Amino acid sequence: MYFESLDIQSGNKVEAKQVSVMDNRKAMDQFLYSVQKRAFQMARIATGCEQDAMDIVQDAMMGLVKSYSDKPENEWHGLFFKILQSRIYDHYRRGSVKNKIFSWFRAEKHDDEDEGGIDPVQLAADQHGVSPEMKLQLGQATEQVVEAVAALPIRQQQAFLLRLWEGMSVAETAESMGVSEGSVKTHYSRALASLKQRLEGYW
Amino acid sequence: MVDEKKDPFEEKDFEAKLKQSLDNSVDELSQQTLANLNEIRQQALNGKQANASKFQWALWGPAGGLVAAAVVAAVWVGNPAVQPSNSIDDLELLTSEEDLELMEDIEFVAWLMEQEIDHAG
Repeated sequence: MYFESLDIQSGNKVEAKQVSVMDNRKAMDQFLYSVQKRAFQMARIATGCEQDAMDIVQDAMMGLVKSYSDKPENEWHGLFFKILQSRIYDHYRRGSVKNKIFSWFRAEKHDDEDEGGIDPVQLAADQHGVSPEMKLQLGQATEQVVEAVAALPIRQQQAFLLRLWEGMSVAETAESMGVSEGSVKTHYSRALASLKQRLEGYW
Repeated sequence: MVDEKKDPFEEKDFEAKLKQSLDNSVDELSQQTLANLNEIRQQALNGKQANASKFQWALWGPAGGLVAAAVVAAVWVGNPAVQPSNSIDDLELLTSEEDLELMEDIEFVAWLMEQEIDHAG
């Protein structure tokens, strides 16, 4: 009778663990579903390429599932967008490496002295814009805004999208971007000013 | 004198319009894009790495490997003083993470060069 009771308890624990794993997977599925479209659009605006954006979002999803599934659910949002931003920056850095190497092969005269040691992400601005296929999908008003956001320097773009669209606090945005809170405020303020100027007269 | 202070109501209204436009942009994603997003989400949940675009790396990997081999050969021929070594230290250097990253970068550059040539052609 005693052993039977133990078996039941042990069985209950296994069952409870299975339920917990299933609940965790379901919760993760729901979370990823809730952010996937905005994450894709952020990456697409940043890269100007659907396929690159899809790869970036996939990497971010896999990174979250693989490394942070056991973290509390309320931390997933910040962690996911931190991974996403990191992948977007990697994309820019690779683009920067590509440009440097091609310019080297083409033996173009290029004065790099002023850029020494500066993060290419800081310098990157509107490298891609809005792709033709994206324009086809967007209405005119939406297209204007997406184009204006795509034209922002990448740091301003990310600060703006995380703060306004994802509704992150200044502290959360700073954590996701890996910059100071003051920097987030500056980037956001500049982004808003640029967008106002660019969209002036349209609204 | 011009009042340079921001009108909070105007600014909130502007931000609301921007947010609405961004929401609209997501609503207009194609069915194919949505299907792809659902697919990669399931792959992530199942821990699968497969995807279509990374297939191209498999195609260009060998080409990158050839370019890398050519670069190594050129350095080798250009620097005959370098002697082969079988020490464990060298093996560690060759298999270190940094060297693997370098090889990946070389393959990546080779692929990019091919892309440039294709687009130029």
